[in-house]
Amino acid sequence: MRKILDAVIIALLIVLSIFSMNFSVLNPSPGIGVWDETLNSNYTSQVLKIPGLYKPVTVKIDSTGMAHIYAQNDHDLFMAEGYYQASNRLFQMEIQALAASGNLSKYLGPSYIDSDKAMRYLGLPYNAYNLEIAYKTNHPEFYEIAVAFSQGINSYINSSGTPFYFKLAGFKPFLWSPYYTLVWEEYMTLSLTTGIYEPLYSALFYNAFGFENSTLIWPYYPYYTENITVIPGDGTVNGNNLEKQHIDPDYLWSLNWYDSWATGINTSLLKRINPLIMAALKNISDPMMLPALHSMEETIGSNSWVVTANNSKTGYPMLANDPHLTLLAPSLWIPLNLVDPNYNVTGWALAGIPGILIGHTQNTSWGLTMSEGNSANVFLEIFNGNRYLYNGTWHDASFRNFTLLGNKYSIPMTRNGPVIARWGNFGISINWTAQQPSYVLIAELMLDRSSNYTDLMNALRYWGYPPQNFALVSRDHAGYIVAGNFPIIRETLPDGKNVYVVGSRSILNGTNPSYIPCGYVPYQYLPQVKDPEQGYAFAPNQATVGKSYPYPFIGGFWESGGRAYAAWNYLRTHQKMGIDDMKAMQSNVTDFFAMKLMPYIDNSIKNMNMNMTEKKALEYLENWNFTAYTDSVGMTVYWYTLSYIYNLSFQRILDSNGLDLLPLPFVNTLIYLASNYPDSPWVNGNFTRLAMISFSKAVSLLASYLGNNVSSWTWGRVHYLMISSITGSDAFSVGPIPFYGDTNTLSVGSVPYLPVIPEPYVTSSSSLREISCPGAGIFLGVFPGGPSDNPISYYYENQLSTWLSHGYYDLTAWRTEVTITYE
Amino acid sequence: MNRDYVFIGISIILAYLFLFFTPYPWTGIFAAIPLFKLTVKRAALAGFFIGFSTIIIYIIYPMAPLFKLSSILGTATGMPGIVLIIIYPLIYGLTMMLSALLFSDLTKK
Repeated sequence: MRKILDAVIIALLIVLSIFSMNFSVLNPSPGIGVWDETLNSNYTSQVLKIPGLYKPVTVKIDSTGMAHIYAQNDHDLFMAEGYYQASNRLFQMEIQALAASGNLSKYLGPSYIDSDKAMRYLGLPYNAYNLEIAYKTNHPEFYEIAVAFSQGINSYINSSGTPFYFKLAGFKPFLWSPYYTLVWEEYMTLSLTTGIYEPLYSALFYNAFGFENSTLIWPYYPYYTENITVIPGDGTVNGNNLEKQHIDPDYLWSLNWYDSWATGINTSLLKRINPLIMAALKNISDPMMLPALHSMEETIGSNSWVVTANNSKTGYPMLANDPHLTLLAPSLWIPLNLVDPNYNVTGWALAGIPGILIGHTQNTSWGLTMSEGNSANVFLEIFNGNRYLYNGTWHDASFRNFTLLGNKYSIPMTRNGPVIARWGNFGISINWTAQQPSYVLIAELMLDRSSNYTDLMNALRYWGYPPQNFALVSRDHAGYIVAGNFPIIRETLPDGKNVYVVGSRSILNGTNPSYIPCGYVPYQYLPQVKDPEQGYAFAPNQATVGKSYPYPFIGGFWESGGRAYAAWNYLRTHQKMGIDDMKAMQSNVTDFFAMKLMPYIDNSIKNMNMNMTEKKALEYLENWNFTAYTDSVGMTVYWYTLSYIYNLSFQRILDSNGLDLLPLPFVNTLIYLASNYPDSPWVNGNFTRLAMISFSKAVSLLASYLGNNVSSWTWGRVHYLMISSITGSDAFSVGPIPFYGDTNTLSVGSVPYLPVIPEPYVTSSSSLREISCPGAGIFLGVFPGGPSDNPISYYYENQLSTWLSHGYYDLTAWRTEVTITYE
Repeated sequence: MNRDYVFIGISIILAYLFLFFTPYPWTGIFAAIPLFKLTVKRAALAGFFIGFSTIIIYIIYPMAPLFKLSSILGTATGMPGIVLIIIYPLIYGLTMMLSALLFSDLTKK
């Protein structure tokens, strides 16, 4: 009997021991379990020993959570920045680096294998490796800054034990090196690059619907926005334009740029390779894409505008910027002020990268939005075994070999780049600017120590990728330059004339040298404007430049221009802009495209037979002022009606053609169809009927979920913001929070056109807001989070409520809360 | 009886040493070895209370952040936050109790 009892106890002990292995992180001892995170929930004044610093560094953390780092030399400044970033964001930085270098599965298991493969197909780890060598060889002084930054991170790793999130994830931090900084830079570049996914989508659409429909649904310049380009005017830059080349812009933009003369691929071949295009898209779709994958869809974007001194109430140029990225907890950004004898720069750094990417010095300020012109191209390759055809001869492909979780992979390389998919004798390769070294870090650090407009422009000569609309202001000047490497292709037009163009609408023939990029748009002819005559310029991702531009953006996959339209409406109606106007624009939730579309919807539905609920809903819709505040009922009715219109027309048509992966057309296309082709098959042959059915379905859906009291159908009941944790766990996420805005409002709250309640969460929005007027010494900023990754820290989301209410912090008037000395 | 206190004292020291320097609660098996000299009943009781007494370690942490963190982790794991706080000391106590019971029983045969 006792033997049985002993055996039972032994068995219980074994079970308990195995079961308890999972609870090691709950050990109450400091340093072993996770509970010591509670001891780090607030910053405390202290002195920290950091081996490798030349002289002491002071870090003052102010009440907004911004760290002001004071060093006596550059090495110490960037080493201290590395230490500070790591002490707040190490897990985020390392997960980002693992994602970018295609190593997540090694640490987190097989569910991340597709992400790792995608990164390696796209070549990020290899590009970063080459870039590191290029920095070492060509710019050792800047490489040393990346080394100092890494030293700071590693000092933290060596002194901190295993930080909180690493305990939960079950692995220890790896030591940092400049490679990880560069590979994360590559990842951000990928997420902001146009020209990889877009021509593939575009080719699929063209194959299914032909040129007439392609140009009707996806015009080269989205409807109603061709005259509100980033660079004002007809496209002439520094005296150069198409007319100077004796090319008629109207002729050029009327051409079928999907055709074989433009791409080297005839229509029947392009149709045949549909399975290859699908496979390519699948191979490079990264489920871990953090800053929101860019596509033709209106999912991410950014806003910026500048106002010249003449149009400014302050008498000095002003700038506003709010880049839209996936909002994460903690944020991709970390607020910093870096000060030493060479630098005094304030703004937001990307965690994992030294310096400040968006911000201001005492005399300058700059902001970024995505340019949507191609900086990459995709090519059709023809293979015979492992040989590929180029210029009439066969060449041996080289291979990138790698192993993931014991499985071996091999990616063929042609002279164009990595082959992302193979199908029969065909393959698709990508060629993008990031395959060649470009010194973005140099550009960033030169911006960080700029003192006038010329310095800003000189810094951007180093900016290779991703091309960005840089809003620039100094004390005296305001302007834009669309900086970056835009590869150009020498095309021969059907009339026999030659022109250099940027990108393509479709896949290019990779076997023919005629379609291979032969250089970049020269810096002097990059789209740019200084002190625009109209007194302002703006860049919410609309078309970059007018149709006379000397290097036509054939591969210009601009966003709808809805936010640009809103910015333009505000700027053109305010002769003198003040700081309050800049704030008002950033908080503006008026949907101008709704204003344009509503008359067509209203005319369609107002005479239909309605039940009481529908009558009430129509009343709200007709009295709606086109704003997307959380208490707006009209917005809810409009959005769900619009969602059904999309669902019953565009989505149905794409689905029936097996193209459900394609982005849906912009709302300006719908407006164009409603006003010009109300009997188009794209609106089911009868826009009026489509609108009536959609309205009825929307009201029925809303009533079934929200009840028959229409006054309670507020936008905030169906439209929520979710700031997700990088861990993927809702427990560390922030939200859902009732949220304002829509796809086309400046204060953006983008959601897809899906008739579901609630809407899918808004996950990308203004990742920071910046307003600067260096001449008047005004610098305001806010971002939706805090500097710390500690989920119980006040500084985890200390700026969120201010951000939600469109408030700002004065970045020049701050109070020290905590002083930390590094020595 | 006095000798029992010595064994209990040694067990307490071992229990806290293992707690502070190793992450796993099964180390309570070793911390319970000195309790074999006690009667079966006393060994079991002493083992449980020594192990579970490690819950006192939580006094070094500020209470509000502690409960906030346990609540967040509770959401992540689908368990009540308070369970996450007591589960380690509880398992440690049970492990020591069963081990002490076993060792005491085996030496009494």
